[in-house]
Amino acid sequence: MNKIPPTTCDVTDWLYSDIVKDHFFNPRNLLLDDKDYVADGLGVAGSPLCGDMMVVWINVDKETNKITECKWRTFGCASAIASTSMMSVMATENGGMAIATAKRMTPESIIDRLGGLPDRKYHCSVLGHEALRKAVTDYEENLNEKNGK
Amino acid sequence: MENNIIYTVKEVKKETGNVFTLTLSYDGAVKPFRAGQYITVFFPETGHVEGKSYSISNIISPTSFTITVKSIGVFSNKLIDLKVGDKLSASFPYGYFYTESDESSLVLISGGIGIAPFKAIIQESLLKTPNRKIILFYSNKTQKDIIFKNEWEDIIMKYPETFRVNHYITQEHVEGGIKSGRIPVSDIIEQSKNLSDPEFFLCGSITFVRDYWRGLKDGGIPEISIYTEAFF
Repeated sequence: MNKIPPTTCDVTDWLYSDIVKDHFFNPRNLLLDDKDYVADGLGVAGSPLCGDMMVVWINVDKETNKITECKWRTFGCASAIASTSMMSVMATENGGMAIATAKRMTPESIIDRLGGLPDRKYHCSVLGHEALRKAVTDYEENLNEKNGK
Repeated sequence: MENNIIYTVKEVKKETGNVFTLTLSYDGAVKPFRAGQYITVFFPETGHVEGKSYSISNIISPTSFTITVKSIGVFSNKLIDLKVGDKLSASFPYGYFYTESDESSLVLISGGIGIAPFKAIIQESLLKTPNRKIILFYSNKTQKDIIFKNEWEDIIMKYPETFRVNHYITQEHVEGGIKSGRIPVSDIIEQSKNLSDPEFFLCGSITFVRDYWRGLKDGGIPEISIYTEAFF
């Protein structure tokens, strides 16, 4: 029998984990209309020209310095949606992530929680991580401004 | 996307067979940047409208720095073919691959061209926090591939109490202080166990960074102490 040569679509590296599929079809913490949403910090990463754009809003408990809400919206692919959805879960679960810890969140930790991503989709997890990092920076700058620093 | 500016190429220097360092400068308002950050370079004619990112490998002045580029395709070839005086469209430096602490020890783990940001981080640290301990683990395929080899030897001579480098060669037999094979995670953990407040920085290919991120985590290093920068 002639064996049909594999195509790129047959390669297992292209497969998404069940967790990725779940977060793509049921994204958590998505904010479609931000008109009336008030956030402590805002982060934007990517560009629609590049194919992926990410916006992240965070709210922070000023007493504990932990993230209470992490909302997001993206113009991006399935991996970008799943990565950012997972990032938002990690930032808010178990009482909220401390700001100091959120600064250290890595694309690798997001991908690990997703059960892996194809290497060629790595940049999608970077976008969510970068937008969160920018939102944290924005929060800290707003706080310093408010405190007159 | 970060705001784009026009850089002028001031120098192009060959480092190893296919690795070059470009010195870039720009005119205009100074916006602070630091070691560990990168720029996104744009050559839209190559079809990469999103551009490609390159880490700063040395900070020269508030408006001048170097990037170190490995020639691997059309985009990077275009970059290394630039001549002194040529203009280049790229972003301001950005990114978060740096420590916010002046006290921590730095454990830097790099594969191949992933050394680029570490060159700048080491130089910045030696200048601003000269007592901070730094250990570099650097993996290459062959000895000829070691980038900035002479610079590492110079820094060791100048800062023997502060800076230590461990070279690993994966695709040829080596002797004399250089080790064969990949960097064992156990070496990293062993050498960092007596450091005060160590922070671990990983830079290299996606696979390299992922494997060492897992290895360090499995070895008991807290995630909050691990910074990653994967080249893709």
